[in-house]
Amino acid sequence: MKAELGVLALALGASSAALGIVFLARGLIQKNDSFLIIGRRFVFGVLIAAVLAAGVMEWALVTHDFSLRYVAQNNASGTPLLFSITGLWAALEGSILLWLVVLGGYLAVTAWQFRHRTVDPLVAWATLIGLVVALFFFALVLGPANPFIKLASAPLDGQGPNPLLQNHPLMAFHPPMLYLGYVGFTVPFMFALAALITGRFGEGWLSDVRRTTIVAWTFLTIGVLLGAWWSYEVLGWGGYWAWDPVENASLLPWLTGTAFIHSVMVQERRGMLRVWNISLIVATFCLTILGTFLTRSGIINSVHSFTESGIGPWLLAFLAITAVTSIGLIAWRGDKLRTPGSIDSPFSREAAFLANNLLFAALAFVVLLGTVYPLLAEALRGQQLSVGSPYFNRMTTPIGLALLFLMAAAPALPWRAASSEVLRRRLLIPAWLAGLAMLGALILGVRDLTVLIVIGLGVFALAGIVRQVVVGARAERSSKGSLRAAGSLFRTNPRFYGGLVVHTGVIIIAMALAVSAAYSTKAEVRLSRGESAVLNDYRFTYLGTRVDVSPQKRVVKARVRIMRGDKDLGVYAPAVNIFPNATSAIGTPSVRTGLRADVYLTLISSPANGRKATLGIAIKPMVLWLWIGGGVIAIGATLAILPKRRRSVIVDKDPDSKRETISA
Amino acid sequence: MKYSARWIALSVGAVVVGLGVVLAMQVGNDPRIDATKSQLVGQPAPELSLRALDGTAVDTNTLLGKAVIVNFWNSWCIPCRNELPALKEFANRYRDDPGVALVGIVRDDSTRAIKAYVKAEGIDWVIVTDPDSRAALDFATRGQPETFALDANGLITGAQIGPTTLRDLESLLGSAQGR
Amino acid sequence: MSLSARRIIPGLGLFVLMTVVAVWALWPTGGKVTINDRARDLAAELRCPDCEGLNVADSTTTSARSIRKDLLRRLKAGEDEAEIKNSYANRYGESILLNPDGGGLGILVWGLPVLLLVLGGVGITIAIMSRSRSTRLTPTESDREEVKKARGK
Repeated sequence: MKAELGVLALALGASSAALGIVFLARGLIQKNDSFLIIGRRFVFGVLIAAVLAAGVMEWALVTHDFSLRYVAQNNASGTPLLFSITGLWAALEGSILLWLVVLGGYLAVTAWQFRHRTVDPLVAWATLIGLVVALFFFALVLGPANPFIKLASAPLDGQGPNPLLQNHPLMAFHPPMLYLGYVGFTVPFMFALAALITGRFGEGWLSDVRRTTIVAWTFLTIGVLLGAWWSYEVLGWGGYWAWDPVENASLLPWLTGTAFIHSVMVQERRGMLRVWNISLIVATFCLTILGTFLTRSGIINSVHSFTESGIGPWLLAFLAITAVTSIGLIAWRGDKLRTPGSIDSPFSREAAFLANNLLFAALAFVVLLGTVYPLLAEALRGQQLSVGSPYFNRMTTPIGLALLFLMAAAPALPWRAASSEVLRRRLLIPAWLAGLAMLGALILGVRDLTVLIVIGLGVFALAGIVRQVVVGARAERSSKGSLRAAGSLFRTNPRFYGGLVVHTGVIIIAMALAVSAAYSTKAEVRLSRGESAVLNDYRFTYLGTRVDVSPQKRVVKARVRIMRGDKDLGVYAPAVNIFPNATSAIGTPSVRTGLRADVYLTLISSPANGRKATLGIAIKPMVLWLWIGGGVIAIGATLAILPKRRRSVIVDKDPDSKRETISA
Repeated sequence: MKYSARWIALSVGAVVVGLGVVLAMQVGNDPRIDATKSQLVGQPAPELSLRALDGTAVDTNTLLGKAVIVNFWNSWCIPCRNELPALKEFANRYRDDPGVALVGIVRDDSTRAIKAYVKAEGIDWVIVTDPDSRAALDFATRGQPETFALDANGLITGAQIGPTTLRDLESLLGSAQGR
Repeated sequence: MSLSARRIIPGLGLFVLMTVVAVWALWPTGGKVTINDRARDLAAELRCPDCEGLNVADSTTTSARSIRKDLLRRLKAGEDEAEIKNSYANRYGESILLNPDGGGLGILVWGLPVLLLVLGGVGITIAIMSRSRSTRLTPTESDREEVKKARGK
């Protein structure tokens, strides 16, 4: 019964999308407003249908209805409630349902946001394109990836979710966050295409979708970081980023999306870079589809490719159609989009944004090339090759450092042009502080060049941010106390100051990345019960092993006491899980999180017959700051999308610019 | 300069189409199946110098002139246990054939556990230990079980990753005997 | 203190500070690279054969552990990195090397991003330079006339 209900909901959604497309197309061609008004309403039908279908699937999962093949494969009668719920996105078919819910949500919010402009052709085209995307995904779940297929006879028990996915509560949040990010980029994409089709590529559509873009970007950022966290806390190899193709796939749209968020300001401010911005948005959308394709088609080896299915060709075809249509539109319209403005000086905000975009594009290109290069080599030469962390690290580190430098310098640059006097005044003190910080680090014994540079640039950028806030607050202070003045900055110019908070988070993450990569130590020790091992200033004592047996798994836990000096840091228990439905055992690391350093314990081999246990120990400084930085980014991004306080005068985005801008 | 946007867009489009074609060629091409082809087939087998559980030396010279099946395994690997009946059956068939040898090389296991397992299962073919996994690495094993066939001249004629069946073992032997 | 001195000293001081930092940071430490360091760096360049997406240095699988031991043994025996990588590639196939080598098709993966970055940088610079020159308008005779007239009034 649930299967029929689910398919019915999906059919309802697909026909809603199709009808919406028909009405909107007719309204647009015949210039008939009433068709447009009717067509728009189908967006809500799409949302309702998607929620219904996902709801039916959740119902089946929570009640362990194994007559559905999806439930039988991803759920077992012993699966706890949380992991039953997360079962919706534990495998391909279900995750497309989640995708549809998110897409429906974004479309509905957008439709509501533009409720007063329903008959605007730009909005109508955008809605139409959004519905086409939705129709494609409904077609996927009705066709090759149907989650509501029934089994001829229901098994007594299901296979249970993939062990790697039922191991950690983070699994509940990572995929939805990622999807909220991925799918959110559909909104700017559909408006970009609509702008190309209608020829209305003024700046209007950009500011219309700005907030949605930042929301999508924020979710994607959180999603990527949660992915890294999951990798760190669950996979047990001690790292958070392996340059795995699936990780890269989530990073790619983030890179182009970040480039877009920056370059869009140049367009809003100076009316330039229109083609480039539309290209970036198209690229971001295409990369989300490419990422899904790489993840789900099984053509690439990855720890994360949990399911393979026949949807690869579908996604590829959709990707091809999207890319060809968009590029064709850009080629057709491109020369009419040519910009009226020009960049006056290399020492200006817009030039810095241009450099930023070049670097982000290069970064995205490196990641894309490294990810697909094995496929290229296989296709062109029949060679089996790998591209791994050594390549990515070597290529991305210099670009990352250059970006960090820009992040420090760019917010201090005024629009149009800066005189050397302005640069001096704004950058001298931060540069001094950066130099002193590097000197201090050297005195403390930091010898790693990357870490030194990151410290220098980080302090440089941080000092610049503090300066911006102080200058801004001083300008506000005339009427209020200084603390309130600083607070009200975020309300008068949320985007600029929210952006600075985001930058602060990025600096924290950059430092954490550099330090944890350079100063991690790791060792493998074999200990008998009661024996201790020492690594750095930590002492590890193996206390013994406990075995927990539950219906879903058998867990072997080694208990290890960690001491630093005389201080007892507690008992930690790295484990090995043996799931009945998996052939190999899955390790669960135990991490002692600290502000200075994490202690990362893994159980490499459990002691047979009370003999020695082999433990992996790693001390990883500053890893916690990666997640803290992520939190700061989330806060900053939230501040940036807060509604701006209305003022009778136009608020200048840059507090310095009134006094210090010098025109060429 | 005037039509630059158009040309850039079209050239980017061409690159994207090329990439799409490459990706399309790879669909349905599981990388893992490719990864399971051993590079070593057709090459001389690596030099072996190992000791059997009873202490006798087993090296390349003692194996020359025979068709040899080399099986990497250990006591804790479940697929190895699953293929044990096939190996037993194979050993029974060729026990009296001086032209055929079956050698089990232990990969990552303690000698004590292996001795107990060999005794319990009544394994009667040659089992050698592999200190530091030298032989396992020389044969480029990816895990266990893995099975190789060597001909009388010491050339590797066949390889299989993962558990074998009796038929697999026969066809590996066939390749080693030039059948 | 004269005005110009006040302007110059902070900048000069910064220059000195940065020079000190750079020299100190780049000064050879004399700390010898140990064979363990070399083995670890080498392990990071090899793909773990029985896991997906991890290198030998990070992986905890049995074959990764035996490869780590083997690398150490070979380095101690005097083999150099290139030899060891070659011998692994010969046995396991090219795909065990995580760092694509720069020859042949490999030139694409290393060279293309650099080329694009350079081209993009040059393109942007040219665009800024040419535009900033062209936008700086030079007054024509008639402009001067206009100004004169306006001033004269």
